[in-house]
Parts: sequence; C-alpha cells; structure tokens
Amino acid sequence: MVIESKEFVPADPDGERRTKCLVLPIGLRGVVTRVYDIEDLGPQHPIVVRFKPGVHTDEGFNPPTLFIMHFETYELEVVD
Amino acid sequence: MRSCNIRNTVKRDGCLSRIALFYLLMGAVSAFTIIPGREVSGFASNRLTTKSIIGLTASTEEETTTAPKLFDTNDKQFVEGAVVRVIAPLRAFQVNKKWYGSFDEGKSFQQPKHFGIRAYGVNCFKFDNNDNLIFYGGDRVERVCAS
Repeated sequence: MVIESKEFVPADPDGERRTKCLVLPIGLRGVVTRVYDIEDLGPQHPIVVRFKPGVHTDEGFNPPTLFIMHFETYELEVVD
Repeated sequence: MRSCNIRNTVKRDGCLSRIALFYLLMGAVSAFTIIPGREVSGFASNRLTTKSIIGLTASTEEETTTAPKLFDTNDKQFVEGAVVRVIAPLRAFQVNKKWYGSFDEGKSFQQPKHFGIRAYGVNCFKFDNNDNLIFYGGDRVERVCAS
C-alpha cells in the first residue's frame, strides 16, 4: 500500500541534533531569486532559491515556512 | 581688508595662494576636458588617456556580458525568476526551530518494528492532524489508535 500525504511532520524536539533541521524532499519547488557570478565572487553555492508556502506545490510538497537557501547547480533542476 | 588675502598660505588662514589657485584651476580644467588622443594629467590623479578610459569602460561591459552562466543537469540555464525543484536530499538548518522536521513522503510501505504486537503506534494505522492516513503497519484495516 502506497500512501503519499507529503505533509510536513515536525521533528521531535527531544531528538538528536542531526534531526533538528528541515529536511528538503526531492521535488520541493521554489523560485530562483539570484544567481551569483562564480568567477567574480566564487561562491560555493551560487544559486539562491526562495521557498514560499502555498505556491509551486505541483508535486505536493508545501514548504511550512518562507525561507531562502543557497544551492549548487547539481542540487536543482529548472522546471519548464 | 577683504575677507580673504590670497597672498597668505593655507597654513595661515585657510585661504589659497595665487599659485596654488592657478594650479588648482588648471588641474580641474584638464581633469574635466578630455580631448581624444590627448594625454590627461589631472592635479591629483594618475596619468590617464582617453584611450585607457575607453578601454576601462569596454572591459567592464565585456565582463558583464561574458559572466559565466549556470546550467542544470538538463542544460537549462538558471535565471532569476525561474521555478526550480530540489533533486538532492538536503537539510536546511537556517530555519526557525519550530520548522524543524521532514515531509511525510510515504512512498513505500513502512514495516513495523515489532510486527504482531498490537501496541500503540506500531501495529495500526496512523493519521495526521487533517485525518489523512499516514501509514499502517498491521494487516487489519481499522482505526485502532491515534497518531
């Protein structure tokens, strides 16, 4: 039986330190807000993505909060 | 006497001498007058020519236009405003602690650890706050325990 609720499940506050984070699932969608020049600035993660609740939830994953995160190129793919 | 005696030096009363005033004006004129091909030597600047100024401008434009572009694994360019999806399992540590957690993907059946023991959270269905079924670990389809 396969169930895909894709709901956000809060972490156990008494859990281990490695669990105290927001685990990003494969398929979570966001919008690119900035692409840094890798030669001029040399950033390790040059792509800045903004995740906003309620938008771009095509794959069922809804970010629980508004946040931005820096990514490498192999960690993202452009959606048509 | 006038308010400013130009024979006095700067050290005495803050006014400029005639010679200093002359060089100041000449430097200002030469600094803001650019004749093509003529060497410009401002009063407080390095030796610049109009050719080098044009070269500086051109090199800046060139750097802007030739900035390296970033592409994904499908050779699609990352541009601002584009919608992207995460393709690698990652963890975000910069969010508020109340958003620590994960998404219930539930794409595979989760075998209970203690199969056969009818205990809470082990051999039963689980529901989330919206009354959606999260997973079950038993062989009987009935709602027997809370999440």
